[in-house]
Amino acid sequence: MKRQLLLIAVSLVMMGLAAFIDYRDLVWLSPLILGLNVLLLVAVLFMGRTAGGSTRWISLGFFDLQPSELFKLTAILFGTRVLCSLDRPLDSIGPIIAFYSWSAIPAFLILKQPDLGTTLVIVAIVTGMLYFSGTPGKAIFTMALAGMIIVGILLWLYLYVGVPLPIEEHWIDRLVTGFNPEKDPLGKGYQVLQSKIAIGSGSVWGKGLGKGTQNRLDFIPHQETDFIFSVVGEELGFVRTTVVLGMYVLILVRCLIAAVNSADKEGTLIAGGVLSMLLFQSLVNIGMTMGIMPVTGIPLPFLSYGGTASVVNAFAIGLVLNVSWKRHKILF
Amino acid sequence: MNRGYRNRDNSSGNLPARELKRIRDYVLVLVITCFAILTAQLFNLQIIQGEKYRSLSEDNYMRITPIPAPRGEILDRNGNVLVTSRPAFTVFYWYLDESEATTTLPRLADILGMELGEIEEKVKRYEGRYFEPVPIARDITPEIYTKIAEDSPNLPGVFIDPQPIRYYPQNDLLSTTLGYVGEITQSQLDDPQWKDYKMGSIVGQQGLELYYESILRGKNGGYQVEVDYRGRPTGNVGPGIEPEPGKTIQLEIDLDLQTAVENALKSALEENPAANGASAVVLDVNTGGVLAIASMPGFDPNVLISGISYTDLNQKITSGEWRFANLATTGLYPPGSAFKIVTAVAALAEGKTDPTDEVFDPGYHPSAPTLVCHKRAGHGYVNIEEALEVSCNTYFYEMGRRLGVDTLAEYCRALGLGMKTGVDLGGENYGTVPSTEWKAKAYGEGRVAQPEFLFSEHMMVAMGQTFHLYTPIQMASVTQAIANYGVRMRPRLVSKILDSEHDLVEEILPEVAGELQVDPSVFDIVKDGMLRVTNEPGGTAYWTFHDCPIKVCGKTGTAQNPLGDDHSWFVGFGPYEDPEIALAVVVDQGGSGSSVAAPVARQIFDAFLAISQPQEAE
Repeated sequence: MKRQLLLIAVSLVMMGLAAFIDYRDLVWLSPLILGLNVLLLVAVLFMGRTAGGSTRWISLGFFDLQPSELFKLTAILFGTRVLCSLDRPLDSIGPIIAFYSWSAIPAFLILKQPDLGTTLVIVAIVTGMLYFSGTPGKAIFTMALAGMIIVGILLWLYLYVGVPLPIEEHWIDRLVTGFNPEKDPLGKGYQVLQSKIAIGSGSVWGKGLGKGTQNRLDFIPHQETDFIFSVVGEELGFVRTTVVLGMYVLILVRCLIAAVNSADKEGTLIAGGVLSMLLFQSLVNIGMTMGIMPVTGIPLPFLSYGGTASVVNAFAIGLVLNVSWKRHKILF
Repeated sequence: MNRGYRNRDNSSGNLPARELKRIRDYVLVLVITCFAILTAQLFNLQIIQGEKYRSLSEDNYMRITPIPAPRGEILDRNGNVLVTSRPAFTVFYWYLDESEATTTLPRLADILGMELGEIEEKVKRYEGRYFEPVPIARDITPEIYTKIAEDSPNLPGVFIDPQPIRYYPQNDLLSTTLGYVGEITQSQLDDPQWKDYKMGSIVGQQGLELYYESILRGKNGGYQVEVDYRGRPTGNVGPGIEPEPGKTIQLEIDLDLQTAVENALKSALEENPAANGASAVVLDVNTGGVLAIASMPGFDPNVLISGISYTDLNQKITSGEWRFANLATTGLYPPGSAFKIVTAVAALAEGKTDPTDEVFDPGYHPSAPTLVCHKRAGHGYVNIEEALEVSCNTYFYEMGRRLGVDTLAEYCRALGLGMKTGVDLGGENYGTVPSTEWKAKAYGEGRVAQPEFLFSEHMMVAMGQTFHLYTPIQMASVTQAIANYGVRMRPRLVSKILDSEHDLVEEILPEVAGELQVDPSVFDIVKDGMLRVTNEPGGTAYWTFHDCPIKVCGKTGTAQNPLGDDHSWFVGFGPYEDPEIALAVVVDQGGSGSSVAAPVARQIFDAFLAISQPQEAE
């Protein structure tokens, strides 16, 4: 409890800080931030703390720092800097792929932890920012298609040719069972099935805060981290959970307004990046708890337990507030 | 193309407003579409399928723990309790997972003093149904209760619940007939007859407990228990269903008479250490009610039920201290001379003899000199009543010659031999009534002996030797039929079915099992002969019965046993004037009927007098 309050206080301070400093200074400093962040990611390889089978944290004694979470912000800031240095939007495949290249090394380091979820979030952030920079949707779509084909080829190489790639078997399992948990209810499908039971049993009005039997009796694994939404659904019920979903929409729309109304391109890209991050994470996470998205280990912004993530999300919201307050044009 | 990031003072030029508007619209559509899909799925899970998931979540955490219905009691004819139930602490194990079981079970075995393998076997039977608690030990002592309670942090999944346990206040009295209860066995579970039962159910395993299972058992209730994801009870209890108690059965058995019968048999066994068990059946001549039925030795169902170890049980059985078989209904013995009452009835009914007809006994049968009488000097001239009195073999050899085995066999069957008596106990044996047809089948091709019935065999079967095998209850039933002028009543243990408050639900009325319709004088003559056995100085049981306050009709039997000592028999009824009880006593390898079985019968008649005329006894 004390820790939670402390974390909220720290998050609020970070949000205030992000709201009042000039974000263009951060964009300007972003190569340095990128360098430091990559160093931290490398440090994780050597001195990281392991939990739940993956090595993601650097123990600072009082706090476990998660550099991969930090990298979401770094990607937004550095991506902004790269995109702002362009004369015109990227619109052909070659330069677009070249643009992605700066994130390849950190993304690989994160994938190796292993942390497929965060890697996907990074890809989503960068892609979203590309769109906010004016790259035509058609080009992004083509590229996404190409990306999927490449992933398909890599999977094929791994599974059928035996090329050693940093792919975890359970990612594939999860992709399959995530959509059809009833197939293996006590094994790989257990989490998702229990999560669906939790949410479904919440019915219209929910079982009441702290009264969720699925939650309280520990039927849902990771109920305070990745599967927090199951608890929300079980204890609050449909009516109130819809309100929670509405709040996410509200935050996302506010980010969108901030992005399109920004006085400068930096603001548009930062707010757009934050929007991409929040949209992707909430869609995949909530979808996962309801069995319509694969289980990828992506936390739900603002609700999932996680120190670094809380601070990062607060800082991101601070940045959006900052952009929003500096707006010149009014489009809404 | 790339001019580099300018500096932190100059903002980069943004996209044109038109372009931003387009981006805004598309992103807005994307956000709304994404959340519309999420809301739709939320609606699907919580509203459309809400009921299903709610019940799934309840299945997840609610377990039904049965409350066993109190089993009906068993009472004697005067309402004395023979079997009841009492609360006892039962140790249950709720299987959590293997790693926990490997540390918990040895610890539990240690405390309970049980073999680890035995516990593991019990748990293993519940494989696939681990949501049900596994009963490990019943009726634990307070010391073990304390030990488990103290060690509970190290015994996850172990809990103690008071459960009714069967209690037999008379201990080993009537044990083989009452039977015992035990956990349902796998073969019973596989039998469709037991399809209503669940694993771990306590059911009747022998005797009346088994035969009247459907009446004695009630309907189990249950209560809901909340458990966590590993099946651990959290202590929260949901609503329950009250169990429906089983019905009580009232027997024809008289506790005092039964006690006297068992004591008499017990002392007979003690006095004849070579004897291998004993049995007695006492029937009500008029109704067929079983007033006493004993098979010695029996067992102590209380010790058995509260969990006796395999080794102890084995030791008790092999040492002969305990025996589960009910000799009264399953023990097959040659009847020896006790059978002569049947031959007498047959010979008189067929007109092959009458009281004026005398047969000369020189000590053997003149047609077959190898067939000797037990009195080598011979009994001289004897009529039928005298032949019964002294148990003259030669007289009955002659009756056998006159009747032939097949006519005799008809009378055997008409009096209920060689068939189930119909007593309300399972597992009765049929026995063997010899006949030419039977011998041809039993000694047919490939056998050493001849399949034809020999001349001497026709004569031998008439005095109860050779081929006959009957149960004590059959012999008691035959005696009852003779005392009742040929009307054989079905031996009946249960007379009333009562509810749990002991109010009458159903009365089980006496039934005629069979009738031998012959001139009543036939029975009068046999009765007179049987009276001489106990009332004439030459009678084989005279010295046992001469001072008996009532006139008893009887017949002794000393059946030759090719496997060991003779079996000692006594069949009889009394009082002579108006017979009330009929009995059969057999002491397996006890020796002579006059010296072993007859004194037991005398004690039974004395006990009967004491209970039927208590005022006079004072």
